[in-house]
This record gives sequence, structure tokens and C-alpha cells, in this order.
Amino acid sequence: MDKKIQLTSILIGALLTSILIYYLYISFIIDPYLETYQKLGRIPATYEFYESNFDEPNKIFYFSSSVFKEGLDTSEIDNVMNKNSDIIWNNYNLGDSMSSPLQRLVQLDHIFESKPKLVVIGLIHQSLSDNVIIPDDQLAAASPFIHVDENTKTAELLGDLTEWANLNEFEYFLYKRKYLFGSLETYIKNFLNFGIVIEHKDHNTNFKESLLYPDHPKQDESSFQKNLEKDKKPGYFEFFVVSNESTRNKQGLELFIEELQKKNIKVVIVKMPINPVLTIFVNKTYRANYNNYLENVGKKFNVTVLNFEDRFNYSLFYDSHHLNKKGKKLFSRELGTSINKELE
Amino acid sequence: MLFNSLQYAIFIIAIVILISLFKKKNLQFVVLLLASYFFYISDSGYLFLLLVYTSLLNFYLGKKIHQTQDIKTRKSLLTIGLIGSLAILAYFKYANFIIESINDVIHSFEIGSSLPILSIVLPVGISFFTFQAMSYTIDIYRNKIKPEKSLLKFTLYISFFPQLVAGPIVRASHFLPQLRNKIILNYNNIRLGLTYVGWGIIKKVVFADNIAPFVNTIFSDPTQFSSILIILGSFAFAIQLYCDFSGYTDIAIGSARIFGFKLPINFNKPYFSINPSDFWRRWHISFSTWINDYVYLPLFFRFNKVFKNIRNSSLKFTVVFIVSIMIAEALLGLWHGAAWNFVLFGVYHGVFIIAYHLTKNVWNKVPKLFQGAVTLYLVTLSFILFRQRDFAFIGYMMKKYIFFDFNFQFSYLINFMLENRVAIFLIATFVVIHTLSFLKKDTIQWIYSLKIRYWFLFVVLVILLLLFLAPSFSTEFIYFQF
Repeated sequence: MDKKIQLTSILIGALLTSILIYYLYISFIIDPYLETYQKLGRIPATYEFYESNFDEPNKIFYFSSSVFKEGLDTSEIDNVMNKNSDIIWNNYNLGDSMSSPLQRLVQLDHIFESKPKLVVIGLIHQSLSDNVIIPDDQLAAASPFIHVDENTKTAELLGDLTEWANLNEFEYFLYKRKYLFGSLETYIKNFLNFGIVIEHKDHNTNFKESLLYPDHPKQDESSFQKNLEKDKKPGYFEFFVVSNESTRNKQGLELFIEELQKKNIKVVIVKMPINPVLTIFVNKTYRANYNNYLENVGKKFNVTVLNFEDRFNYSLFYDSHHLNKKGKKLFSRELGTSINKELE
Repeated sequence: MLFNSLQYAIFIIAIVILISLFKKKNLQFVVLLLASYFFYISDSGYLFLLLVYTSLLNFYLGKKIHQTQDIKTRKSLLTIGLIGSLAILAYFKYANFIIESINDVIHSFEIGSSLPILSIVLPVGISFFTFQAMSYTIDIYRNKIKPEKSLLKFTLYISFFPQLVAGPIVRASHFLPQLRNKIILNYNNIRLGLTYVGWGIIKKVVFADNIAPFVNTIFSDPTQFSSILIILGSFAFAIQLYCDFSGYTDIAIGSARIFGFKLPINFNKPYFSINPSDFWRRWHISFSTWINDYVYLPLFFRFNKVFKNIRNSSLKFTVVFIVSIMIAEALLGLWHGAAWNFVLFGVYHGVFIIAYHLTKNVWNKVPKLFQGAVTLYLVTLSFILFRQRDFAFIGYMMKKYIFFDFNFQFSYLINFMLENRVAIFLIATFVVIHTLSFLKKDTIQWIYSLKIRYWFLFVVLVILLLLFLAPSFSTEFIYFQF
């Protein structure tokens, strides 16, 4: 064979082979990895949940970050609310890792179509912090389900992040290459049965109760403090910085409430429990800014703000702000009682 | 247009097709010249006019110098050429550096108001093509070469896209003779060229880009880290820099080779150097030889005359050597960037070379392995000056690097290593490949000599790396900024 033809054939063959391998890798390694990925797997599951639950009546949605996802048992709330009630309430835990009010804005159309009676928004300092922005991964993972129109308030608040929310199917397919190393590592670990590989898939698709960490070893107060000091990176506590400025996250929260109220969906805000140990590390000014801001939002939108912030001692947490099994049960019961009162 | 992008792959394929359509030599060169300008314009827009200006200035002055016999006139013409070339470099690269330095003095002594900072965009590769053009004019002045008659060939020599933005700095005597014949695309050149390109891409997108986050963590706030991680971070940067820059050079050499052009090698296993002079014979070779030929040697001969009153020839040599090397190395440092840390980088290497030459007799007696280890340790130390712009951090890092604090914090260290496991794995892999490449056979030659089915797998691997890792998640080449 002529050498030039041979070389051309090799290059074309190599190109086609590479594209095929790329496609197979995305389909068989990265896609399954994303389904079980703690930080992203819940996003497509959430949109699928909205689409499958259009007709169910009397729904209550609980939106927050992992503080809800890990720390709320909505089956427990169902029990509390439906015990002596004529109406059957269906409570759903839609908490998701790193979720913020700004991120929830892109879900509004789906939420409207799903028609919940009540939306409960759980907040902690990170939710409103100036230093927390939505990871582009989360918007990219939502992109198959959403489109953010330009010249809307949501697009304005998202800024440059809007492009990630508007990836088309092909762009998202290419985007997934970002998970090359993470997926490969998980695949190898699973294959070799090496280390603790937590199965997040069920957890990501469960909107009633958290299954991820069934129980946690008890820690005393001082070991809690030590672990916080040792394990957390220096920038960690910057996540808790809340100024008295108007930030994108704060504007996102207000827009979210405003849009829900326009559709006659009742809103309740919950100041989520945080570990008292953590309050030692978090600046008092930031706490004051956070409390003042929520008080003002409550007044501005005529929304009830339920305060659970300082109600639980350290023994009910497994880290700085996630409740353990016992704490989760207690919190869910108390929250259920409070929500019941709100609906009376 | 980044070398490690799909656009560049399409660009090369388009040129190959166009070249193969034209049989006449000059038409092929026109295609290459236009492609080179397109390549430059895609990054720097109208600033390509600087490239045209530098080419025309040196082309016509080179001709004029050759035609003139009068020494004074020749010297004047050379001076015009050097000033004309260096002026644009000085303006675009160093104007704000000079203004900022003056402002620092003004602030320190509170002697007036600050000068305004100019809004200047640094044209990509300006240091490279300016030095290349200057060497042409100087070589004509020294009667080493004759001027090129064809403006087309000369502009192509200055603008040839593979080496345009980050070298190697090619001498006219090396490149222009290659333009005597028409371009013939042949199997061996294309295969060797693609092997170079493929290996360069692996160095860049696998090693350099994935070691970079680890390096950034250490260098962004080094005060968090103890000696062990400062040293590891500095070694990681040494590897990142080498893979980034030599990866770029490999892609440049390979791209040129596809069209049958041979560019000089720029790196020769620099981390196996056994002394600082040896290091500069192996690192950025085209630039260090440029500095040697056009800065150090002229200074050496000049200072030989200046210090003619020193009668002790050994002492005179030492003084002339020290002064010349320090100036040459400081300029070498400044070439890398308009900042004082780069000047210090050059000065550091000047001192290192002088110290080596003064202790050469003792140094050469110690085992080679020890020489290599100490050279590597001290070269890596110099890269702190190269990478770190904050002088407080430089001080901290150098102190921790030199005076080991024995603060291991094992549990923190292990956690940190686990968090950066990809980078650590790649660093270890690089060390193995680099060592094998030094001891056994050059990696590129080994890949090139593979049986065709294995070479096919190599091409598949490179394309996959491009699909997975380039370009939206990769960074620009470090040496683009110079």
C-alpha cells in the first residue's frame, strides 16, 4: 500500500476509534458515576421527580442544601401532620448538596407545574453567604431540563453562569469529560472493591428520608472542636461570611419567594439548626447580619421564619451543621408540628 | 489558537491540504506565510503589524549593512536595527514595569505623585520574534551570513507559525537554507512530526495541566505549609514548567517537521544536569545560546578591554567573567518577564554559575550523582523566584526550602497528598519516564520506531487526550507570556 494512503488510513482510523472510545467512556463510566455522585446525582432525579408528581395533591416541598438532604426525614413529618388530619399531606425532602436559593431559581417553572401547596426553605449562613456561588457543574447537570432566558432577572443574577444552564445536549455531552478522573477513580475502587465506596444512587433518588449515613459514632464536645479545627481548610469558615450588603444569593432568595407568592404558593423559612460548637468559630457580626436579614425578609414578604438555629446541642450533629440520626428524627417531628400550625 | 486544541489540528490539516495542492515552491511559501499571519492574528489581532514591521526593518537593514563597506556606517545601521527592534519590545513589555518601579520609588520617598500606568496589551511572542530578527541583522554585521534576497522567505523565517509565539529561537543560518527547495510532504517526516506533536500534547495536557492545581495551592499561600510541602511544591513546579515549555517545543518541532522543516531542539533532559553551566546547555537551549552569542561574549570582549589595566591575567579573567555573566544573566532573567522576581532569577543563576566556576576543580571531583542532586536542588530553588511574585512569600519559601523545619505533620501531610493524588501520581510517573528517557532511549525516538500497529495506538491515545482534556479545561502555555 502507498505509504501516504497507509498514513491517512491510520489517522482516520485512529480518529474514529478515539471518538468511539470517548462515547463509550461517557456512556458506561461517566454517566453511571454521575448518577451516584453525591454532589450532582440528585439534580436529574429532582427534575424527574417534578415531572412524575404533577397530579399528586397537597404537596409540601422542602428546599435547602445538604442540611435538609441529610437532616430531614419527611416520612416523620407525614406521620406528625397526617395523624389527626382529614387532609393527607405529602411532604418531600428536595434538599441537595450545596444548593442555594439562587440555584433554585432555575427550577421555578418545574415547581409551578408541580403545584405544591407550601414551600419550606431551609437556610443556614452558607445559603446567603457572599462567598458561596453555585458550582457550574450543578447548572450544567440541570441543563438538559431547563433553559434560562436572557434579559430575565434570573439570568441577570446568574451572570456568566447562565451559559452553563443553557448547554445543549451535545455541549453537555462534551462537558462531562470534566469527570474523567473522578469517574475513573470510582470505577477502579468499585472494581477492586477498594476503600469505602458509598452507594449514593438510592440516596439521590430518595425524597423522603436520608439513607446515606444511618448512624454516626458519638463525639464529645472537645473532639468536635478539634475535628473542626483539624479537618477544615483555612477558607472553610469564609463560607459562613454574611455581610449586610445585598448579594446575589440574597436577591435570589427574594426573587424565589416573590415568584412563588405570585403563584399563590405559601412560603415558610426555616433557620436551620447549627452545631453550637460551630458558633464559636463563626463571627458574631455575620450571625447578626444573617438574623437581621431574615427578620427583614420575613416582614417584607409576610413570611413566617421558624427559628431552629440554637435549639439542638452538639450531640445531635455529626459535623458542624448536619444532624445525626437522632437529631434528624427530633428536628423532623418539631418541624412537622410547626408546619401543621402554619397550615391551620 | 492553542497548540493543544482541536482548532490547531484542523488548522494543520488545512495547511497540509493547501500545500499539497501547490507544486510551485513560492506558492507553498505564500501559503505558509499567510497561515502564519492568520495564526498570529487569531491571537493578537492588529498587533501582527509589529511582526511585519520587525520583518521589514531587519530585512532592509540587513541588506544595507551587507552592501556597505564603511565600518562606521555599518555600525550605525546595526544600531538603528537594534534600537528599532528593541524599542517596540521595551515599550510593549517593559514600559509599565519601568513606570511601576519609578512609582515604588516615589511612594517610598514620598517625593511626588505617581505616574499613570499605560494601557498596553503585550503582543504574543514578541520576545521571541524580536530576538530572532535581531540575530539575523547581527550575524550579517559580523559577516557570518549573507542577507536573504527574497522578502517572502525572510518574512516566513520570522513568522513561521510553529516557532512564532514561544520558540525555539531559530537562527537564520539554520532555517533559511531549508527554504531552498520546495516542500515535499513525505511519510517519514509526517510520522515523525506527528510523534513530536503527540508527545508534546501528552506533556502539556496530562502532566503540566494536572500538576498545575497542586502547584497553585502551594504557591498561592505558602505560609500554610512546612518545608516538606514547600520543597515538593517547588519540584512539582519544576516538572510543570518543563512539561509545559518542552511540550510546546515538541509540538512546534513536530508541526514544522510535518512540512519537512527541522527546528533545533530546545531541551535535553535538563534535570540531569551536573552543574549550572550544564543546565543552561540543556534548558531552553536556543535562548541560552542566543544570550551567550549576542550578550555574554560581546560583553566579555568589551570588559576585557575595559579592565586591560589588570595585569594578573587570572584575576582579570575572573573579574571580566563575573561582570559579564552577571549582566548577561540579569538580562536573561528580565527577558522572562517584566518583574523584579525575574531579574532575581537571572541574578541567582549568575551567582550559581560563578560559584560553580570558582569551585570547579573541587566540584568535578565529587561523584556525578551528588553533582546532579545538588544542581537539581539549587535549580528547583531558583524556580521559586520564577513562579512566586510576592516577595514576602519568596522569602518564606526560600527559608523553608533551605532550612528544613522537620515539621512533617504526618496526618495532615497524608490528607494533603490524598487530596492531590492525581498530581502526586503524575509527578512520580514523570520522574520514571524522564529517567528512562535519559538512561535508555529518547522517548520520541522510541515512539517513532514503534511498529505501525503500536504507533496507531499512540495516535488514538493522543486524540483521546485532546477529546478529554483540551482545550476548555486547559491553560495557556506558560512561555506564551514571554
